[in-house]
Amino acid sequence: MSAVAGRPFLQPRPAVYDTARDALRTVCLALERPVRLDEFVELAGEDVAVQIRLTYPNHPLRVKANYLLGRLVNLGQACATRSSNRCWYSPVGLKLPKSIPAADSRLQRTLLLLRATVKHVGRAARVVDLRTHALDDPTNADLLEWLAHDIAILKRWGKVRVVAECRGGGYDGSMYYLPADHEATSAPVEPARTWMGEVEDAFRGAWAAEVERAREAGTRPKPLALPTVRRLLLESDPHSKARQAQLLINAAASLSEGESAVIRVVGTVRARYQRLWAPIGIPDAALDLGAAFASDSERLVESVRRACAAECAPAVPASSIQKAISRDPELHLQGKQSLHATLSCIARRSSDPRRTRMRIRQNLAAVGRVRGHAYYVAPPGESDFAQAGEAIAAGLAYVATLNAERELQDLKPETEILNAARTRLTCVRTGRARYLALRLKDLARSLSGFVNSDCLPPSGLRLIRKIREIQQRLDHAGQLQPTGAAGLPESVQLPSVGWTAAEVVPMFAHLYAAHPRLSQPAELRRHLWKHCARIPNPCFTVRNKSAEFLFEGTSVRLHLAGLSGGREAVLLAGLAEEELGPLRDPAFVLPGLQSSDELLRHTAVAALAFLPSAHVEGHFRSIALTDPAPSVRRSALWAYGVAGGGDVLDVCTLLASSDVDRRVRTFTKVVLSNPQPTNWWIL
Amino acid sequence: MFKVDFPERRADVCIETALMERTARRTLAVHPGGALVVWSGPSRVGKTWTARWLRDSIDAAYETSPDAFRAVHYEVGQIRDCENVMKRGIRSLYHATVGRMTETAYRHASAEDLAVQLVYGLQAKNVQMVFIDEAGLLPLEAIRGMVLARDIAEIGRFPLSLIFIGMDDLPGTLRRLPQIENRIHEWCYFEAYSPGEMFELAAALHPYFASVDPSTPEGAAHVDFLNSITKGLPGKLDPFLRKLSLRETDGVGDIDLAFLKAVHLITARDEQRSIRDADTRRGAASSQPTPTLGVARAPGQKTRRISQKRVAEPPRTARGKRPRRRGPAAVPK
Repeated sequence: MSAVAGRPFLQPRPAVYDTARDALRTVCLALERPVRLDEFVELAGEDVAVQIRLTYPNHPLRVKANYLLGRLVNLGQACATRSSNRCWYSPVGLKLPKSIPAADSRLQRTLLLLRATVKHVGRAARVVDLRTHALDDPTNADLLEWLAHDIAILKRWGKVRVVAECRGGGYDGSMYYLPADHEATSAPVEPARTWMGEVEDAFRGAWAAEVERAREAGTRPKPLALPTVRRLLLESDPHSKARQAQLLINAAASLSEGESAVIRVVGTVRARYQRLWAPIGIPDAALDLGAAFASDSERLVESVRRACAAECAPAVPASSIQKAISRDPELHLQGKQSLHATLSCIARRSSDPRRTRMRIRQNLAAVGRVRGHAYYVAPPGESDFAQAGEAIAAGLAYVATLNAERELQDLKPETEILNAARTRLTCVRTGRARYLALRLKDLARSLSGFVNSDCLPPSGLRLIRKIREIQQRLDHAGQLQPTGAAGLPESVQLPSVGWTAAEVVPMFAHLYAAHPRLSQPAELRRHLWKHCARIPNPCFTVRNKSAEFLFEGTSVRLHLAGLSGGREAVLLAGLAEEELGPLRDPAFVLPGLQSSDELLRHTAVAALAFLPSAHVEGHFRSIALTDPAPSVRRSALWAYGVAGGGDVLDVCTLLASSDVDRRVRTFTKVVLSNPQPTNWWIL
Repeated sequence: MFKVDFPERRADVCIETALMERTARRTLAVHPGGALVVWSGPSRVGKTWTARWLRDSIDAAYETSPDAFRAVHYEVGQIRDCENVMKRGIRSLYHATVGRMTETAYRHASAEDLAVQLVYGLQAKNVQMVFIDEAGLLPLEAIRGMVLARDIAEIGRFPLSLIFIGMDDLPGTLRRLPQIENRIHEWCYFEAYSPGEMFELAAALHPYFASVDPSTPEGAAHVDFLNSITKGLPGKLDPFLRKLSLRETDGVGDIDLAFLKAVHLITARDEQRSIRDADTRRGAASSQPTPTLGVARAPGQKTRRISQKRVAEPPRTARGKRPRRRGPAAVPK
């Protein structure tokens, strides 16, 4: 007796062999064909799997199932057939109606899927078509993950050929495939609805519209700007990818690259969103490049240039720019910002709000303000800052001229000369004349700097001549007395005391009984803006941090005295306003207190009462006590009270009992009956 | 070549006449308590001159008496008859007597407030007499405003006298308002001077007339001549005397009556010629036939009458329709 290593010669077969044979028979009858190992394992049944596991507990089910099928084949109870690198099992002696499937591998199934898809759609198919067709059959679910990979392998093996290609397929695929042995050499290709295709179609549509417009207008077509294309895309589909401008920029760049480019950039390459585009075959000579604008910046620059040409001025305000824009629809701004905001943004030296990056070129510059309206200048061509300096200098000179003209108008020098001649006090006459001379000198100086640089406009030269004529007339009028005459100072003090509306509110509390709305600073500011002079705020830095202008103190006092003042306030305000004019230097009024004429002393007291000056309180006190004229005493007492004299009530008490004039006594008694600081204004 | 000889500037000479003194006394007599006085008379009779003379006299005597006051003379400009005439009148008086009133005070004050303010200012300056010249130009409401100020001054025991000076139309204007007519304290009429008074004036102003004896026949001829050219109005004497001075400097000859007549003749002749030419042109214009509408036609040619209906058709309304006529009902046939 011979022994096989590891196995006795007459050992009986395990029962699992029979189980496996019966299970094979069952599965084959179910599928009506030979089966594979995985089909056997899947369809054999749970009891077979349990028996196999119990028999071979230390081995996986699939491995032992494979072993069992192989043993059955060795025992002659099953037959195995290899096909497509797979083993097909069937029991011996069982005639099955079906044979082994011809195609089985994933690649083959993919190829079959392609054929079915081509037949179904009637054209060459992309990956997206295969994917859609595969979803219809659940057995092809395992192909979806490897579809693009398998198609690429089949193409490399020559089983599949590419007949067409589209742009921007992305995940859906950009190539059209046919089986290599397909009858047609080319198949109809349905136009792709890709993003790139949409952009290309939009460009074609925009170009066709532009060509039609140019033909009707009798001009050459203008190159296209991306905003135009974007508008077309959004009109056709509000939810299009064109909502993101960067996608459109990238698409346009892709359409212009490579051998299959359909569009090209026209003119100088600028920032990507500001480029102009034209179809690839159109030369520049066939385009109208003169009136094409790629951005609001270019439109505004052109508008400024046209406005300057229309007004023959080197700089123009926003209102003139708006008029130029309204005359030409091509210049209408496309952005959402207002004209003023866009102008301000473009005219900045820096290109970002934080002022960290400076512009290389300055297409637009702000050259100053006239009456609060900003003026702009557009340097010619694409000049850098050095080249733009001349244009900007001309704009600055023009704005300075306009400001000087406005200031001269406000000054009214001819009228002031006549009014100054009618003043009662000689010293005030001199002061007003010197003040006028000083202002004229400042005006001339503001323009003289531009004369040397030859950028002053002719109106500026005329203005300088006019100022000189007025200065000569002032000299001839004889009002400018020599320095030191009658103790007058050499220079004139300019108005320097000013208040904001919020500061004025508590100073004139007596107003609000009759004018309650003026108790609000905003309302008071609006009211004072119309009636009172303003002086620049020396502490002004930034517009939102501090007031740019202050209301001039004497002007506010005179106005509010007339608005709601009492008899004495109105009387003295009229005298002061007529006498002082624009003069605000008390040094030119003080000599009037020494006059022998009571009317002149009265006028001097009235003028000093409204000039905010600290060192005249003593004068008021002494005049109230000692002046021979009762009206002068009364007015001086009033001025002393308004100036906040410390012992004004004591003076009133003294005058109430000892003054010889009945009216002065009555006045002081009225003061003493209600001694409030603000009551002086309503006396 | 013509050389300009600028006339020598001479100081004004004021001859105090009896009329002036009489008028001044009458006016000052009614001043205590404040008065409304009217000075009227023909033009060039000397009303303005009298007012200025009285004002200067009052101001010159200001320091001499504790009861002294100041006077102001001003000539009214045009105050248009529109709204707020009363305020405008008061403001006009304020500007002339006290000083400028701020625009704010004027706009926000009523007429009564302005009147009170005016009185306050006049009190402050001790101005108690105001001569309002050419008052005939003032609208009635403006005069009422000024009278209101006087009344307020009277209530405050401040004597404020307003003297309205005007020509012949002023009394008629004031009489249209009984409230004012009944308050006028004194009427002073400036009548033309008599020939003798005119000759006295001329004698005081020019040495030639001082050398002529008016009691002689030759002097009487001078008086008559002077009266014929001045009509008793001193305002016409001064220009004549200036022309006389100019002719004197020419050194043509001695001054006599013929010389005087010659001096006046050129002016009289040019005046007559101007008036005659003006009358001739006016007369020629009035004698011509009134031109008819349309093209001028030859005599005898029929003219086509333009339908009154077409001429008087009102314009169409916005809807293209004509408004309904609201005239008398159509006459039934």
